[in-house]
Amino acid sequence: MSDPPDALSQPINIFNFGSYLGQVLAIVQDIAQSVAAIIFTQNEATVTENLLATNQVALQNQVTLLTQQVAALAATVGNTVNLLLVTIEGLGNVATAPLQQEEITLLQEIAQNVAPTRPVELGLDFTNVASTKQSAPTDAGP
Amino acid sequence: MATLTTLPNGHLALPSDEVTAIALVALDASQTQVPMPASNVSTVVTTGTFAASLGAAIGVMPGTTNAAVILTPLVLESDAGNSGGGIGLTITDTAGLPITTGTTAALFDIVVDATPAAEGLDLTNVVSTPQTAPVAPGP
Repeated sequence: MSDPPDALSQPINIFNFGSYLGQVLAIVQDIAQSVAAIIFTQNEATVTENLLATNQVALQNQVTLLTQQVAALAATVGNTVNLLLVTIEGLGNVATAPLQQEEITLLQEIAQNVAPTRPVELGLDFTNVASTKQSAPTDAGP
Repeated sequence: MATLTTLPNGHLALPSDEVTAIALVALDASQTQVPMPASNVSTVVTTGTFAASLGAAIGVMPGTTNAAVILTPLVLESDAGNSGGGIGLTITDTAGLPITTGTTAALFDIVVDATPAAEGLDLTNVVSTPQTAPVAPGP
């Protein structure tokens, strides 16, 4: 069996749900293999090894296919979210009517929910400063 | 890691004999520092009457690869002492992110570095007072 999947205890968001489902499917795959092994052991006298092996391969193929489909879906949703973020940033300095502003505000809320750690501001960190010596300028100023 | 001195007028002091790097950071909605947006390009210019007295450029913090604004004083003094200073910064970036109010509100003065660097006798500055001549002949 796989190691305990820590990610499964985390809240699902748009960026981690693909890996989340991937881990779930890995567990299902482990279980399927275990069940197949148990059935093989119990029915060794009456069921042919080839039939069990065929069923196990078929199950694994289905799980693999499902995993690929989930990954493709995650990529599509991720692209959609990126499009949303770019759209919001592009609208940042555009004058809008009140109704359009409501729509932008809603889009920003959606973006904040799906990507809570995305950067929203740039600024100087005045607690993180370094200086190096230079020759004092000859121009008196100001 | 150093910090900037705040002058009585609220401006931040930049010693004229130092090039100062200030970290440029990205913040999320909870004001936590997060990585810069991928392929983001920032620019910075100085503003105000005495903008030409201070050079500003985007660079990196010394010893790191983190973004920083590099401030280079171009005059010996630009502060309240010679009716100068009050130099601001305008930062823009290709990601279109707004700049924090703390950054847009910051004003800089260029000050003469008064930190003692050496000590010695000023032989042009001498005062003498009479005393009774010593009795010992010497040497």
